[in-house]
Amino acid sequence: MAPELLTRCADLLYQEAAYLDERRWAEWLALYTEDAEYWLPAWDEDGRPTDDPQSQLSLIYYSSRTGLEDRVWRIQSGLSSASSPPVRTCHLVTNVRITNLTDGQPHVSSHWQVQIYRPEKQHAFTYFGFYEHVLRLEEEQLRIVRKKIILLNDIVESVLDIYHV
Amino acid sequence: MRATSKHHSVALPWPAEAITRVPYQVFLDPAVYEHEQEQLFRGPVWNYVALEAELLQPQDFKATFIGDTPVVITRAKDGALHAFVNRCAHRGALVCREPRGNRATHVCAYHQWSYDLTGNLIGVPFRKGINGQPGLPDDFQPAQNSLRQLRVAVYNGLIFASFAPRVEPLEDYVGANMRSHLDRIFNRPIRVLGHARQFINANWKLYAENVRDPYHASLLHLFHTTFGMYRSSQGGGVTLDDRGRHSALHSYRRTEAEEVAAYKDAELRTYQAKYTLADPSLLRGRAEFPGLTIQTIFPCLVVQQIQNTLAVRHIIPRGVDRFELIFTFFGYTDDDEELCAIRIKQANLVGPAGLVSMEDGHAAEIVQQAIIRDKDTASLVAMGGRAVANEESLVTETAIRGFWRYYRELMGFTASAGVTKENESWMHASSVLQNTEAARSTSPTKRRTKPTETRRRA
Repeated sequence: MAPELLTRCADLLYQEAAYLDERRWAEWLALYTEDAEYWLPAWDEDGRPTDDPQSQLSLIYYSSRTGLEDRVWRIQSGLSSASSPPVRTCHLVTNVRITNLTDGQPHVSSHWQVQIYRPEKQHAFTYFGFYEHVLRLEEEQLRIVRKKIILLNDIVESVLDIYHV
Repeated sequence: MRATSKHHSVALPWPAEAITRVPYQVFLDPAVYEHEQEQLFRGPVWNYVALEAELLQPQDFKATFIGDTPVVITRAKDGALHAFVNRCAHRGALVCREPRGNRATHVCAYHQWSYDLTGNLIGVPFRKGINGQPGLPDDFQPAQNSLRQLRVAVYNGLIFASFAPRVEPLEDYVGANMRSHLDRIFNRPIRVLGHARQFINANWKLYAENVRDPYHASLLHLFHTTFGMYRSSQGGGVTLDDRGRHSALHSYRRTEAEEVAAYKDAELRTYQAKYTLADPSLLRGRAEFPGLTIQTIFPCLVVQQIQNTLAVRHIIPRGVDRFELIFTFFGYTDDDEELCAIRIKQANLVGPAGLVSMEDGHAAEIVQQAIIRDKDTASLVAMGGRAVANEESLVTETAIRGFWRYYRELMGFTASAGVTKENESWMHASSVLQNTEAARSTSPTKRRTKPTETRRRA
């Protein structure tokens, strides 16, 4: 496996983290292909993350980028009291590995932690878990075709949105 | 007015116009919280604990809470349901440490004391001692050392439990008005689709108010209104049970023409036709229910039907300024694959990451933050008037008034001096409710109460 591919994949993940932390929503959305799937599974009664978003509950699931666009619209509208004043986030992404390349699309696993500060409450807390990205080369750019987020501490502190994970 | 139970004494001056005022102390005072655990959660009420669909097989169990007391619900081998306090009779350890599962017995990890599915003690290691050394005293009686067993009753697949030795039958507690709403949702076998949990840093009663409050729906929830799911001018109303403690908020869509007419002159932010949902499939449901219903059964159950999403929400108090909210989403066992997928997809609207319900928990938090001082001041719940009655309007706080009226009754809180016309009749009722001991020993104004009428409404 070419080391430069791993570097490019990791760079994309770090770029995504930066866009979320800097609230650069349009650029964040542009990292995703139009058909991108975004999935944050819930945990089932046996203590495992759900494995089928069609027949089992998810905390967030979108089968295309339009769902993310709605989320961004909501955040930017300023009309949701739950999303304002904005929280400050710090996404840490690490342990980046390419786990599969067989379909020509790098499957990238990583570990993440998001430190969150709510200025409104003067309260900081952390969400953490794993990412699984599937990336595709489009117009010379690596883009996200699929992102699955495992949230290990799934007891939500009041609100859960795209910038928290 | 000072209300006491055998364990606690709480001084809480409720404003004179009791029906439309809620003193902030009820959301802040640890003594009120303690008093609730005794008078309310262990009082003459039925507490929601589980869905039968979560306990289908013999030996299935679910660990949950009544108030903040951990309890376990089990299905015995004969199919009967049981509930007991999840605390070992020996040294108080949590006996059942998994949220759900299937077990023939429940064994405490600490010293392996074991209990059957009704909570009876069936095994004590080294009870007779070892190597000739004594074990427990000869007069130890296992029957006196069982887990505390609770009453259990089921209505239409909803399991309730009660600590109270005497409580009205569950059907009567739910009442005819609320039964008809439950019958509409629980009309055939259901299947659990999943759970979501969130913690909210606010007193649990702020959420109990929120789910009885159709007034906020079009004003707080941008998403509801922007995408045409809900508007205050649309048809709907509030139904209460006979005592005003439970409620059902329901709304139905008007025709397009009616909606346009209703909003023709209004310049509310609640109508913003320029926005459309980029992913309209989220709202594309199937005709099933006429509108939206949020139903509450006192104290901590919410039954929600929003479009095709069905869920029960269980409010669990976790101290005076924190509660847990557990969403259990469900469908029907005869749902086809597509309908199941629709319910799952629309679950994105509610729950902790839900586009609709994100703001509810947040709203409770911003109240909790602001009331930290001035606990003797009170909120105002006068929208729609002073009545506790069914209403054909969504701009009303009638169900919140009903909640508090029944709450005061259970808690023995009565209004301070200066009785107004509006709350006179209620004052009469609640003065009889006053705990006898309280009236005799600690009440500064000493209301006379008949012992036999304690906690019964006049």
